[in-house]
Amino acid sequence: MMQQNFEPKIIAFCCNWCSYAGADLAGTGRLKYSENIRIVRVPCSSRVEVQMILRAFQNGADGVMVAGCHPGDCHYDTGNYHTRRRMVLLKSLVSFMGMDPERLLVKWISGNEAARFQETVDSFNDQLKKLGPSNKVRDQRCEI
Amino acid sequence: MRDINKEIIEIAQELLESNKVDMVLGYTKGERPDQTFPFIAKTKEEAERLTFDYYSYNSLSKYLLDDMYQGKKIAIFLKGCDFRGLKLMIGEDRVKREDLHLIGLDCPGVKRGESVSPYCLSCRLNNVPKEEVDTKISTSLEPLVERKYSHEESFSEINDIEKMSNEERFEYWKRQLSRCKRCYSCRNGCPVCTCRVCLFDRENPGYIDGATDQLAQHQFYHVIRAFHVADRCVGCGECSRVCPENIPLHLLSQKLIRELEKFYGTYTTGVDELPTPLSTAKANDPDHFGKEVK
Repeated sequence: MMQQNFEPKIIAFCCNWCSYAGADLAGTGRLKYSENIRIVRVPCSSRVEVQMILRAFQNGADGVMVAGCHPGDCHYDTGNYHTRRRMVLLKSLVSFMGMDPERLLVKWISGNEAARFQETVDSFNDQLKKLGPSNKVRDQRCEI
Repeated sequence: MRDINKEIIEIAQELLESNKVDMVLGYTKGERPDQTFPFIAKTKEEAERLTFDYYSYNSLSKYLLDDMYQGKKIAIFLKGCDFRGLKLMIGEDRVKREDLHLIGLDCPGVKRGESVSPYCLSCRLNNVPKEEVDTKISTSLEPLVERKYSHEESFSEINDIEKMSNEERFEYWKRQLSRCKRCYSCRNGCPVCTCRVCLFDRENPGYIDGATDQLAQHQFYHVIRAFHVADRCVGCGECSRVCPENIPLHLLSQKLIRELEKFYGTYTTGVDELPTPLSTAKANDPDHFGKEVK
């Protein structure tokens, strides 16, 4: 049921201090990464609540990426440890309820890892292309 | 052995008479023999109607959050699971310990209809510790569960669901969740779901609303509800019991309890110290997201 020329929509929640800077560096370094990504800048990866992720899926995202500083490098010392705890649990809950946990990617990308950012986005994009469009958690009201 | 009801009434009357408390929260008998309701006794005469039996399944601690109980001295009857929920509420400053007079009961397990409630089968913390309550009821009813079942045995549905494929699981939960009426009973009945203003009652952001019949919104609600009480669940099973559509919501909570145990070690709400596993984080937690790429 894979569509021809399917371009997935990716929402990336990037932490202001590391991953967003990494994305920025990828831009200034003229590294080409998939244009399917929409970056949302958040103060810290632990700012990303469950409802934000689910809402992204409801609004038509095919994949959601949560990117933060490497463990130990958090600007707020412990923020990404909280992210780590929550996201493991969210993934298992989502897979228990039959939704696709592969569509949620959690990644640690620091401010100087432009190449890693590019790599992550591209491989996630490829993975989502294989999975096809997400239609399990769609809010009908958003499809006008 | 003394009659438990007599002891309950004596204790309640004594507390009310000496003006130690303004009211006693307990249970009373309904019209049918299998009905027992929550009951508030404010006078000595009313206290005579108090009782406790196998049908006293309601959790009373959630009443304490209501406006009419603020600033009053209240005595409350507690089973094992209620006590653990209330202890969490006290620890999180939802209620003040000095306003309460806790009366602990040895819970024999509760009944649903004719049979034992399935949530009581694996309960090992049915007795309220004597040193942590103000009054302990000394008599107890005959326990309903002879043998304590393991977690795997009493929630075998979880294993069944885990064995299904992703699509089957999705269909299973679709069948269950599309019945949801969004009455919010599971939220209101849960003894550990105690935010003063719930996320789902806020007007902003507008996308979190109840007035919808869509599956996506039900998934949204139930994922978030299960997630918000994941680390604090006391396993009382009230969420499933109060559900008018019989959605097995306790499976979500029990699944998350298992997962938490796997990742971060055993944590028992109301027995172990606060903070709960999801309100804290440690540097040496296992990292499931950073291994593959170097």
